Amino acid sequence: MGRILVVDDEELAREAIKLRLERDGHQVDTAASEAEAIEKIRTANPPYDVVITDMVMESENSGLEVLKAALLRDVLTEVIILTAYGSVANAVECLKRGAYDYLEKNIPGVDVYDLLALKVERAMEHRAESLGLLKRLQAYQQPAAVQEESRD
Amino acid sequence: MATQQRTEERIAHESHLYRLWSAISEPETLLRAILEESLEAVGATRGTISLVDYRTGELVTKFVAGLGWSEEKQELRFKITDEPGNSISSYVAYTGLPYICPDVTNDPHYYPIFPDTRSELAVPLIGRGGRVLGVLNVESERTNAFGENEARVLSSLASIAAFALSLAAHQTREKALIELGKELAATPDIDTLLERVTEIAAKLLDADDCSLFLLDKSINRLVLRASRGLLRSLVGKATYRLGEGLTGWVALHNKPARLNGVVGDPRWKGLYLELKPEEISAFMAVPVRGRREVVGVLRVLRKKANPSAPHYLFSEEDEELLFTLASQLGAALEREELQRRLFTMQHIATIGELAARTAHMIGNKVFAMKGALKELSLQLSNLSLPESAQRLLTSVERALYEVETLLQDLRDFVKATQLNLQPVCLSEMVEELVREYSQEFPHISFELQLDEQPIWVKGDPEKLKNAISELIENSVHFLKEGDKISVRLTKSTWVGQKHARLIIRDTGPGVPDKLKEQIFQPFFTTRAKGMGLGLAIVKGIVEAHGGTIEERGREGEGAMFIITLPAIEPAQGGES
Repeated sequence: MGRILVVDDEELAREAIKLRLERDGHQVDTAASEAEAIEKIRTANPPYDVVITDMVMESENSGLEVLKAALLRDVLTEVIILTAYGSVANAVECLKRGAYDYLEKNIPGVDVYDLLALKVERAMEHRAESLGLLKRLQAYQQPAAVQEESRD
Repeated sequence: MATQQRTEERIAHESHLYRLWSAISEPETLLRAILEESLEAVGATRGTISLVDYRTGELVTKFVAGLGWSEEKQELRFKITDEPGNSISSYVAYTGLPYICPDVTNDPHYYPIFPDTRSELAVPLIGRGGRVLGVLNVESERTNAFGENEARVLSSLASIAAFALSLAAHQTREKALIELGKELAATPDIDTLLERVTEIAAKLLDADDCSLFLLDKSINRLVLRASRGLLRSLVGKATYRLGEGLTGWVALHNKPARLNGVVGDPRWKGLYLELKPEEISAFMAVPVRGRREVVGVLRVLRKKANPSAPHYLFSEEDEELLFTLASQLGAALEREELQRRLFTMQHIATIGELAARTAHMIGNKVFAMKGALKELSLQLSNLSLPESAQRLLTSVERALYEVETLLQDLRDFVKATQLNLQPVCLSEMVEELVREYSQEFPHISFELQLDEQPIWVKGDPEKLKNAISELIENSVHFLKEGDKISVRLTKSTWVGQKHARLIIRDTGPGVPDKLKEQIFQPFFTTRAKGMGLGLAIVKGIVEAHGGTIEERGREGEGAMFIITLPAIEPAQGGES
């Protein structure tokens, strides 16, 4: 299904998300820091469909840096921000800067992993729609170039 | 000649004035002069001024005049009593009345000091409140030397002496009070300060012991905080309920108590005694008053010199003095409280930050655990697990959710104390809230009382609004149709700082006495749902603003919440 990068400095969290998403058939990479994530995003080929990143890692704004790198690599990559307590404000800032959605890690009584899986499905659909739209636009303007790029 | 005479008279008069002035500032000089003057005025050969030592119940010779006084004779002390043979002066000190002795040979009270003494005249020195301070005594080598006339002359001289003594005592006290005021303002440590107050009170009031009890609101009891004598070992341990014993009575009624001894007083319980009840000559206690209420009791005791000695009573003047001390102490305690609050305010922010970071870290771990647990139970579900193992998994999951709930409450609490401060017109805010709530809850009648001048505070408008709303909603929750909520906002001054005072009062069931201490604690609620952080958050918000909140209603008569917040001058252009 999708190519997904999970970024979290908590190993157990990375692994749990990876397992959950692999059950849905996704191909999941992980990164343990902002720096590692940015490196993987840059070198990924093709780019990741979805990047899931923790908001606060090395710094309060690690999530924002990961978002920037992802959008720089592929403006249609969907980024989902994970927040623990106190970092919702930063997550909202990420939404303004182009993140697809954010998810609070600790919602009492809610299975956030299922919720995350759901958001990933939606993000995949969103990306597919956007790609489709882009393809149609490009086919209309430069049919040859589009063919080439999408095979890249 | 006439001019020179006038000049001499003038000089004489001026030097007389000078003598008067120096006499007032040096009471000893004045008393000596009065004694000399007395001898001359009534034609006596010798005289004494002796003063009452209330500690020992004795009359002590202080000044002598005339010939033949040996050191031994000057050091005589007499028991103050009406028993015969203890000296005429001692009898006068006992009765407080002048005494003419025409012939010493037949006088039962006479005590021979000089063989040539034939007659005596003694008058009391009476201070404020009718207390005998001492005795002025003159004698003659003639019998029948003194009559009513001499007694009158001597009495008027004695009254000048008594006045000089009272004045000197008064000046000493005034000085001591000023010193104490300076000292209290400069004492950094509250326990040292309390110690000093008891020391000074005992010294100034010539008391044998002094104890200070302060109200501990968490247990609603007066706790001994400082004492000089026997009770010292009970500091922190001895307590009185409000209304219990004389000390509790003083605190409960906010009134002083001044008694001759204590035996027989119905209020006396004798729980914690500096002295045996029968040894107590006089007892006096005054309330220590804070801004709004009694915060403690300061009490002093005088010991009886001996079982038959007259009571050494506390005078009205003594009571005034103790009140002054207590009010200085009250002000010092208030300052201490204000400083403590500023300190709290600064530290709430730091603690909040720490708590937020901790919650964040725990939240991350819990998130990971939830994920791992989910995958684990999924993998285990392929095996056929016994039902008990399944139950264990479920309860771990539930516990994790509970941890998250706690974290969420903690976050709410921390958030409440992180303020975005700006000038806020509290009057406007309160008015708006009351308007909104009276529309939302038409079955309850709202009453609003505002000062004409709008009241401003420095605060976080959002948080303050939340706090006031929570209080109103909390009230509404307990009210029935037709009940009333009255909201009142006024300005008050406390330790020189202007404060806004918001009172929210309802006609509901009120807060039960046994719950009063708990309602502001986190996780306490009498309501079915919610974690009970409501009032704890309100308290957090108010304290982060450097304010206070308390519940002062009576059980069965409705709840009354009082919030105070430091007020500021109205913001410019803030009238609109």
